[in-house]
Amino acid sequence: MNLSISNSSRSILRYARDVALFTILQGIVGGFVLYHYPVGTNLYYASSSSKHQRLMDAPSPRMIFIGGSSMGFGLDSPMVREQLGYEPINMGLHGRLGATFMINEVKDHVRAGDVVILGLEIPLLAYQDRGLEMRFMLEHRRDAIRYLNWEQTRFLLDSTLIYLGGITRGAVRHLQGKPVDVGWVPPLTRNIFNEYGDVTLHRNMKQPVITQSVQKFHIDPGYQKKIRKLLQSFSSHCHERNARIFFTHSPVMSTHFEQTSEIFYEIDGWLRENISVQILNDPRDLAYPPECFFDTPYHLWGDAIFDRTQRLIDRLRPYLEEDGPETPSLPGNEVIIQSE
Amino acid sequence: MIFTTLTFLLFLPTIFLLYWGARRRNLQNAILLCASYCFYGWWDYRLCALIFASSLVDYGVGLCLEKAESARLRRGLVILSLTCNLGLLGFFKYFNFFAESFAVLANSLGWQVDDVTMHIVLPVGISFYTFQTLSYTIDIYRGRVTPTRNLLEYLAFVSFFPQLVAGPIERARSLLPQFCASREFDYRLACEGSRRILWGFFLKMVVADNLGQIVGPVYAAPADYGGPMHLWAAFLFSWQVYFDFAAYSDIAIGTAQLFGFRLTRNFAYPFFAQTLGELWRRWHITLSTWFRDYVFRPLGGTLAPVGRRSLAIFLTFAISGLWHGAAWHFVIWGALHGLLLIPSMTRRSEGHVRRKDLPGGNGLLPGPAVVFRIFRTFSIFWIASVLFRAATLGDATLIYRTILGDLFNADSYHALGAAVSGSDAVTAGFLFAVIAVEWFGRGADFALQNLRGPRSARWLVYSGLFWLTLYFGAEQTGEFIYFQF
Repeated sequence: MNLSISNSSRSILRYARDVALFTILQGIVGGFVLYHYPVGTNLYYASSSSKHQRLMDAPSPRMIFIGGSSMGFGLDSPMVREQLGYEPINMGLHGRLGATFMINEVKDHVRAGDVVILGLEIPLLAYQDRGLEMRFMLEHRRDAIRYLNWEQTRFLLDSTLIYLGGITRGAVRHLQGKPVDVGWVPPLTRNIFNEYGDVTLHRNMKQPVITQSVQKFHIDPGYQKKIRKLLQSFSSHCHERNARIFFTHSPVMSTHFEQTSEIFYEIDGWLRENISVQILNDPRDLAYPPECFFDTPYHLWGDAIFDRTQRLIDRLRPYLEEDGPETPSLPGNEVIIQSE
Repeated sequence: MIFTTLTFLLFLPTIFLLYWGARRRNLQNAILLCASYCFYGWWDYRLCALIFASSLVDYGVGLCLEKAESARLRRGLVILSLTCNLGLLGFFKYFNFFAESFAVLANSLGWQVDDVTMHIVLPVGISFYTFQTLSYTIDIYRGRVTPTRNLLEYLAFVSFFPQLVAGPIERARSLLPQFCASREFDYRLACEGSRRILWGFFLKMVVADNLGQIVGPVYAAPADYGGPMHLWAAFLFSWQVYFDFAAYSDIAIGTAQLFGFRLTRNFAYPFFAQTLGELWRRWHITLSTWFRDYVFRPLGGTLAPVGRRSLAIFLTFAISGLWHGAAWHFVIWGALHGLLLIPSMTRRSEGHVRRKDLPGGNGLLPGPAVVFRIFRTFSIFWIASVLFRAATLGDATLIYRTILGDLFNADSYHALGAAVSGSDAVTAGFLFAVIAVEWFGRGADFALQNLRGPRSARWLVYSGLFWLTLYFGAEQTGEFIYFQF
């Protein structure tokens, strides 16, 4: 019996030794790969650091825009600044960072007098969409991991192999002298944002062909419960800090809207019923024709950006005029005010 | 928890060390039980209550069956188990299907019936573990299995994490005794298990997931694609579903081997089969044999007269289709296979190639007649797979119409040409390379099983496979297809 246990132990040790050796060998190759993987400081997600810095540093009174990439691509902050007199901070980066991350990131930095505009895209209120975007953002901002919820943390762990695959491909491309980020055409980098966090580069670019098909999604009631809790808690938090909070729908291509309008209105109704936040518009107001979009059915392009911003300003103005800041307090507004 | 994640790769060695560190069998079973519930609860911890309740019912029924002497009571106990297990499956998986179908039928007859569907989330793996617990009770009833009194062993058997969510569907008489016996670490078995896991990761991440990325968009918007592209997508899907499920089975069997367990082989190169009957003997073997033993035989089996046997074949496959998914296109898919099988299964002269036999014959390369028969058999699966993959019956009909309509439309072949020569080329290259590897390795349970040569050469192959998996792994790996069933 003792002999048998001893044989079994020897076999386990032998197996453990083999596995450890194999793992070390792969670790050495992995170290080489990691060494050659360039964490690009000029990539799109690196702008998260700049946006966060602005969130901390921008002087009051401020208007903070929270949302995914449709907020980043579809807002003209200088118009907001000029017409409403608030210092705009556009936090919009990517929908797959998730509503929890977007809200948690801003939560601690809300100040008295701030106006917070929630521009969460409808899918963000319906179900948990996940992707490697969070990973790429964390490459530049490790501290941002504290804004993730359990589901996102779990997803990070689960998606590590795919991410390592991306690193391997990136390292090989780097060794071949090719650009690492080949995902987007045209390449979206950190430089495409203005000082407020708006994407501006695409405004003068030719539109690529939009190939994204209509995303038919359904509502996950479990997820929606969590979102309701999150929005209610954030709304209370803003009120406690004497900040005002509004919700705006996001731009979407009209063809996509028509095919999913039932869900849009279901969520709109749910928002009005459950969340104590002023909703500024109707989902249909933000359904623009296809020619107004850049590379996806959510990224506005050309004059539509200014139209959307103007509509938002017009909707906000009556609420802000009650006790908002003096409009001419910011330099450069006089001309606009006179022309109005 | 999904196999092809870092989470699992961290979880597995942790459990491995705890398990082999524990000397006593009961402690090892307790570790496996906890690990299995953690593995399952990783999706949603509430699911653990469901599997626990399902296990308890059959454990109790098993013990009562042992004591019960009257045939009536024994039948009653089996009916109780059937009601609980099929009730669970019926509620979570089929409630909306039957409610919708009833409403459609009633409205077509002129009765006004309101929509009574509910938002029910299908618990992962429910179709697999309910079948496993059901077979336990039925086998006790038939006197083929002695019920276990040890609850820990029974719970560990039902929830054994390598095969919990997508099989192989193990019978109590093959797996349960392994939980009741003490285990010794077997170096060769563990090494084979590790190789099998590596091969499974490669098949899933490089082949199946990349095929899925080509197939997915076509089925998401079928109206946007021409007939040839649909044929190509159906061809790729047939291989996707095979490699996806075979990969899962390989990882499951390999993982079980690390803990000293032997699971039943689930795939035996089904696409090298020369008849449809042979294909189904090689495909998802544990499910096919489950349906054979618990549905086909009670309905008549092979000894029944031709008419009854034909009906049994048809019904078994239609039910098997329904098992795969709660929708009519799955039922039709199953029924179609059943219909096509009837002629060969009712002929006594059908050459019975067993799954132990080498598929495609013993030659290094298949002769023209074998190639023809393999292609003919695969083509049936290929064409029928549209019904399996399409989101709705309407989509499937549209796809078949498009395929037929575009058969002689030269323009529609341009898109296919562009796709095959473009981004699909690398994936297609991998597909054909793996098919070749499978052909030459078809004498073994899996391709790497009989890899020979000096250790350095073998490790070079394993390392290459590891880095190929990372490098060419799809950027969006999905859950295994069979999780949804």
